[in-house]
Amino acid sequence: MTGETPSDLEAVFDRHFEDVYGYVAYRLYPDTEAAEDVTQEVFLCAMTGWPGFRGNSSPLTWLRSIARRKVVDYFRTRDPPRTGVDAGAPEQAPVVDEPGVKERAALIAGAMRALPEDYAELLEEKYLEGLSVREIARRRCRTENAVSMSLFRARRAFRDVFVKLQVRQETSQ
Amino acid sequence: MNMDTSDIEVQIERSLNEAVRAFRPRPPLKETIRRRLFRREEPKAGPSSEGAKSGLPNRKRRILRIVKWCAPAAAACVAAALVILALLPSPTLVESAYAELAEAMQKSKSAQWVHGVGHRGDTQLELWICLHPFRTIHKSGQNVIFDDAETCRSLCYTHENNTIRVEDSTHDFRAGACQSLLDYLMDTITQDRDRGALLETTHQTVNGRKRKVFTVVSVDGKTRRTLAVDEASRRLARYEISEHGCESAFDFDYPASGPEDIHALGVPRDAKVLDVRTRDDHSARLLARANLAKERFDKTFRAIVCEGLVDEGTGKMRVDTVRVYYQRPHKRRVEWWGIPQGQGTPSPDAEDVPELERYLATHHPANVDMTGPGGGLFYNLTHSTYVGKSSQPGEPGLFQNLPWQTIRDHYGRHIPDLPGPNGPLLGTRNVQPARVFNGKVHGLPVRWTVYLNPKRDYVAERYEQWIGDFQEDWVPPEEKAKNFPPLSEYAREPGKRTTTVLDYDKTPSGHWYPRRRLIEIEGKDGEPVKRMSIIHLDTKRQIPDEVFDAARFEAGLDRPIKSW
Repeated sequence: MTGETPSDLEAVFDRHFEDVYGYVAYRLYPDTEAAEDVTQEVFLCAMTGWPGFRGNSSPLTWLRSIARRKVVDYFRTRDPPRTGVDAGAPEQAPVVDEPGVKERAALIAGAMRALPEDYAELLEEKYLEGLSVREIARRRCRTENAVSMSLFRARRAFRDVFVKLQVRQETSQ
Repeated sequence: MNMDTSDIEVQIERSLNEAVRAFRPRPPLKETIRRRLFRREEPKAGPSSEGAKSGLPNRKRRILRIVKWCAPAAAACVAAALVILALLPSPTLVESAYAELAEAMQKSKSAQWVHGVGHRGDTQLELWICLHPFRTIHKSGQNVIFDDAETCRSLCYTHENNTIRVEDSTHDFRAGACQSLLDYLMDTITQDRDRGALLETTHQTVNGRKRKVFTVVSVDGKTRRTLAVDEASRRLARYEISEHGCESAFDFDYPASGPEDIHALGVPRDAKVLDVRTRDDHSARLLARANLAKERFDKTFRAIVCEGLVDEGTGKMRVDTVRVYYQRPHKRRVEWWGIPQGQGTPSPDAEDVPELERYLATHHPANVDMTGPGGGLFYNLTHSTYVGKSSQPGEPGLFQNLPWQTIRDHYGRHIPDLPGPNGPLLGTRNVQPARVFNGKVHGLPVRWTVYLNPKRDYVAERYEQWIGDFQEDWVPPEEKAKNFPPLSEYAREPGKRTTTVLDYDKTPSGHWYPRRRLIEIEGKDGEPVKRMSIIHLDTKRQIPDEVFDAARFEAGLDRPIKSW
C-alpha cells in the first residue's frame, strides 16, 4: 500500500478504531486507563509504519498485530502481572451493558491471559483474525502439522483454564 | 460455554469476537487520538483542566506535566551532553582504533603458537594455542584441559583424583565461530563496539618495549577490557579484564614450539585414564575434516536460499520459503521469508536471481536473526515483539543450509562408504537420544546417517534423518539403562527426511558448495513429499555495515530494542 496518504490511514482509523480498542481493552481488562494508553500507542505506531504497509494483509489484521505486540510489551514492562477474574472490577468498566456480557468477556479475557503467550496468540490468529492453518504456518515459518498440533493443545489449554475460571466465578458468587 | 461439545472451535471463535466487541471506548478518546494523529492540534486550556478536557489518557497527561516542568533542566542536560560529546574521540578515530585492534589480532593469529600466562583472581592460569593444527591447552592451577580439533578429542586432567577424562571435543561446534581466545576477544570487542562501548587509547613502555593500550569499557560500565599491543611486533602483548569484581590478566608471547602432549604441562604419566567418548575414531576424524573445510570457506558472502515443493507433474519448484544469509567476519544476519501459497499468489522463480531480489525488496521478512558467538539478536516481525538476545548463541543454521549439514556428534559410528556420482562418499551415523524426564519422553530420538564427499570439501552429499523411529541396535547402552517406555508408545510423528545434493558449484576462491539439493520427506502415513533447495551464493558482493546494525532496522516496523 505504499504511496497512500495519511488520509487513507484516517479512513482506516475511522473504520477500525473501535475494533482495536475492543481488542486492547479485552486483553487488558479491567485496566481501562492502560487500554486507552495502549490504543493510542497502537495508532501512533501505525502512523509511523503506514508508509511501509504494503497491504499484504487487511488493515485490521495489521493493526491487530501491532496491538498484540503493544499489549505484550505492556505486560512485560509492568509487574506484578494481574490475572483475569482475580483482578477486581474496573472503576469505569467500558463494557456494553447487556446481561452476562461483562462476566463472559471477563472470563474470556482471564482465560486468554492465563494461557501461555504463544497459545493465546495462536488462538487469536486463528479465531479472531480468521487466518487458516496454512497462513499461520507461513507466517510463523512452521509446518502446517506443527501449527495444527499447537492449535489442538492451545484449544485444550483454553478449555481447561476457562472451565477452571468459570467454576471459581460460580463458587464465589 | 459448554466446552465439552465437539464444536469447541466455533465456540472459541464466537467467544473471542464477543469479548472484543464487548468493550467500547469512551467517546472523547477517539477524537483526541484522531486530533493528535492527523491534525496535530492541541486544545488550549488551563493546566488544571487540560487533560480532562482533551480526553487524554491519564498517563499521557502526567507525562505532559512532567515535560513542562522539566524543560529548563532538560535544556541544561542537552548543553552538558554537547560539551561531553565534543570531548569524546571522533567516530573516525574510534573506528581506526578498532581496525588497529583487529589487525593486531590477525597478526597474533599468524604465529604458530600463542602462549599466555596470567591469573584469574588467585588462580594461576596458563594458555597455549596452536593454530595449525588447531589445539588449545588450558592450565588452571594443577588442572589441565587439552583440546585437539584434529582428532576431536579433549583430555581433561583433574589433579584432585589424578584422572584424565577423554571426551569428545567441543571444538567442532565452535569451528568458524570461536576458535580461540583471540577470536573470542575480537568477537567480544566487536560486540562491545556495536553496543556503543567507550574506547580509549594510551601508550606505555614495559621492559623497554613500547605498547599501545586500548581500553574498552562496556556501556553499563561493568566490564573493562584492556588490550596492550606491542608496537614493534604489532601483536597482542597483554590482556586484562575486570568484570563483576573479578579480575584476570594474561601476558602473551609467541614461541616457535609448544607442548607435545598433556604430560608436558605437569600431568603425571601414571594418571588414570577414563575414556567417555561417544564417537569412534572414524567419525571423529570425519567431523574434524568437515569442520576444517567449514573454517576455510569464504568468510564474506550473501546467499539467497530458496526452498519449495516440487510439482510431481511439471517437476517445477514453487518457492514457499526464502532465507537470505549475510556473512562477514564476526557478523551474521539471517532473514527468513515465508511466501504465501494462496490461489493466484505469485511465487518468485527460484532460478531467477533478479526476480528474487525484486520480490525481497518489496516484501518484509518474517523474522531476522543476527547472531554472534556471544549471543544474538532475534527479531520476529510477525507475531510478537521477540526482540532481544537470542538464547542460541554461536553458529546459526547457516551451514545447515549452505555447504554442510551440521554433523551431530552424538554416538558417531563408522558406516560403510557409499558410491556417489561425484566419487565415493564417507559415512557416519549418529544418534540424538530421546529426552526423558520423570519417566516421560520430552523429545523424540533422532538418528542420522551422513555421507560426506572428500573430493568436494566434505560437503554432506547425502543426509538421512529419522525422527521417532529408533531401531533397537542404535540405542546407546546408556540409553538402554534408562528403561523408558517402548518408543512405539510415544513416537507420534515418525518420519524420514533425506537430502541429496543434485549439483555443485564452486566459489571464485575454489570452495565447493551444493547449488541444488533434493529434500524428500516421508511421513508414517501419506505420500512422500519432495522439496527442492537452491542456493545462490555471491562472494563478491560488498555487505555494508548497516546490514548488521540493529538500530537501522527497517523504519516503520516498530522495533523497540530490548534485551532479556
